[in-house]
Amino acid sequence: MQNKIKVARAEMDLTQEQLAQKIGVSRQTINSIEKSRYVPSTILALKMSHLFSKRVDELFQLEKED
Amino acid sequence: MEEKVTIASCQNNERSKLLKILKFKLPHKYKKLGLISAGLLMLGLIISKFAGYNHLINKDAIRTVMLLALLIASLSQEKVEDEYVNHLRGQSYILAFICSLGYSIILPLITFVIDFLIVRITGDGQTNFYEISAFEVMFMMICFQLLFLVGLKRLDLAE
Repeated sequence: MQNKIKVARAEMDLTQEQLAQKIGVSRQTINSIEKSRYVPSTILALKMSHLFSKRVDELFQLEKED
Repeated sequence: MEEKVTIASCQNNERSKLLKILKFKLPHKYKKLGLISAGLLMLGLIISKFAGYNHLINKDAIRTVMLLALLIASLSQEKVEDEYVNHLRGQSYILAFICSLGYSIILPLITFVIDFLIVRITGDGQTNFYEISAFEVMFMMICFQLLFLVGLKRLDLAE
């Protein structure tokens, strides 16, 4: 699973820490999601989608092996 | 149709009970408390063994309390508890389960082979199969879980 969280975060000029606080997780979680080491739950994905005002499928894309 | 609804609602009830157990966590402060208590009990056991007070204490009772202390540490929240930590916690339980099973299978085999070789070389005694106690397996499992959780978090930070 690929994601564009880092890009979306940069567009809103947010640090990982700020984003983490806004959606109620740790900075480590944001870091892991951005590096595609962790696929977030639907709830977290929707929270990000609302925050960035983007559709979930704009933020997260399936890869060939998914 | 009515019967199906009843069965479904029963299943939902069971599921919600299980989810409650899965979601149960103690506050973070209990982690330190559990680890310190377990450490002190372990130290007490070691000292009593070397100081010759072994007969004065109930080893089984202390071991049970030690397991309880480690369980408290295992069930305690991290400083920041979110879904990612829960995910790592789940992975640490799986790894701990596999490793402790591996430990309880491999260790007796290794001791058996060593025992067998010693008997072959020295020519006296007999080969015994080392039995791992339930305490040993549970202790290893809970220690592995705590270590894997720390390890997984550290590995993640390191990358």
